[in-house]
Parts: sequence; structure tokens; C-alpha cells
Amino acid sequence: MDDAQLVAGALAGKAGCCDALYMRYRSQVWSAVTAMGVPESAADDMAQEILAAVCLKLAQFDPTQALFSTWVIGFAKKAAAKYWRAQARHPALQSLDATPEECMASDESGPAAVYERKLLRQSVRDLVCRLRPKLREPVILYWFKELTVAEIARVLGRPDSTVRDQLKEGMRDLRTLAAGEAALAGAR
Amino acid sequence: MEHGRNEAVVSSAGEACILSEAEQALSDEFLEQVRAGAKPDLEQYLSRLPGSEARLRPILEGAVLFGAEVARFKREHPGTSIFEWLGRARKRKRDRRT
Repeated sequence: MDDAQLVAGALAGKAGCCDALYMRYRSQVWSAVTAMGVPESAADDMAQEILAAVCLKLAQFDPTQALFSTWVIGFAKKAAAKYWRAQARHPALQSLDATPEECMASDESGPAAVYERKLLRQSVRDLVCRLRPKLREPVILYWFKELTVAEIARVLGRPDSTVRDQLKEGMRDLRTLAAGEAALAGAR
Repeated sequence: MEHGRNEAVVSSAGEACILSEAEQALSDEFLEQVRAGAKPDLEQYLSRLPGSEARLRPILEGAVLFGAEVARFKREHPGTSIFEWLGRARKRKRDRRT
């Protein structure tokens, strides 16, 4: 049975259809959330929760708007984003954002080194954050998660050719952004 | 505008250009090299496709610039995830709004 038949069956209350969708998408959802930085230890539970939510919200799926796989991956992306928002509230991570006072108090590497590290993080993050969202995802997955174009396409539910183009477009935009930063720094 | 089957549209800042399959392949190869930590000769790559320089140079230069930043980031902060920062950046933005 294809996805549409399984969705129709599940909506009609036919036994086994939701389970079949679960089995079909479990590894894809797991790969998607781990590719978005969720640790494997959390990904199993998250994949289960995502697919449970998918089954509960099947009635909202509109096949004229998106492929079923794209719709499911949308749930995974939202869940991964939620995970990172929750992680950002974790105190252990706050130490990465050192204040000037913390830098001055650092015995290990001195204030200059701490500031330099902070600036480096800032520059990479700023560049990435300023990319258009549709380009940001493939760029992050390619450069930071080191996925192949085919893997990125699967994770994001986009055609390989689109991912390939978006990576090039991202590089061109990053070069423009970096040139702008350099010009601004020169003017200061 | 009509594009051939093996051509891709790459647009940026309102400007569009078309990459041929050969240009796509060359830029793919260049990106792979940079990501793997090599330092490919940009001019040598560009010279492989004379006439494509205007389209390819911004892409390859962007890859060199960003690849260097990413490599530095990974070297100096092993094990730190870019996702953590992006999550925190969004949280701070949200906090400032509220």
C-alpha cells in the first residue's frame, strides 16, 4: 500500500494502517532529527512522539499541499527546533555565552582568548543566521553535519537538484554577507 | 526564460544566473574539497571552465570563506553544536522582544 492508501485507511479506522506508517517512517524521522543535532539518546523517544503526533493529526494532512513524507518531516523539524529551545534553557550551555566579567575572571586562557573565541562563534553564527531560511538548513547540514546532498534532500524532503542549487546559492550569499561585514569593519 | 534540462538556476540578491551541468559538477567538487579540509586552488578550478568565471567565482569564494570559518570553529570548539547556538540566538531574540 502506498502512503495515500495507508493515510485513508488510518482515517477510516482500519487496523494496522497507523502501525504501517509508523514502521515506514520511523528510521526516516530518526535520521531527520539526529541530522538536526538531536543526540541519538533522545532521538528514539522523539521519533516515537513525532509519529504519534502524525497519527493523531492525520485528518489535517492535505495531499494537495505537500507530499506525505514532506509533511512528516515538517513535524520532525519542529520537534528538533523545540528540543534545541529547551536545551538553550539548560544552565550548562549558558557558559558558552561568557559576559565580559566572566571573561575577565577566566583563569584558564585569559580575557583576550575568551573574547576571541566568542567573536569567532559570533561571526559563524551571524553569517548562518543571516542566510535565508531555505538556504540555512542545507548549508548547516552540509557544512556542520557533513551530510551528502542525497542525505540532506531526504532529511529536508526536497529534491536533490534543489539542495544542490541551494548550497551554491548559500555560498554566493555568504560571500556577499562576508564582503559586507568586511566593508563595515573597514569603515569603523 | 527557458532553461535546459541540465541547467540550474542560481539566484542571489535579485540576480539570476544559470549553472550548466559542467559548472555544477565543478562547484560540487570544489565544495567537497573545501569541506574535507583541503585547500584547492581557486584560480586553477576557474581556469578549467573558461567563460564561467563570473558565475562560479562568487560561489567558490563563498565556499572558501565559509569553509575556513567552519574549520576554525570545529578546531577551536570540538564537540560544540551549531544548533545550540542557533537555539540560544533565537531565545535571546525572543527574550529581547518580551
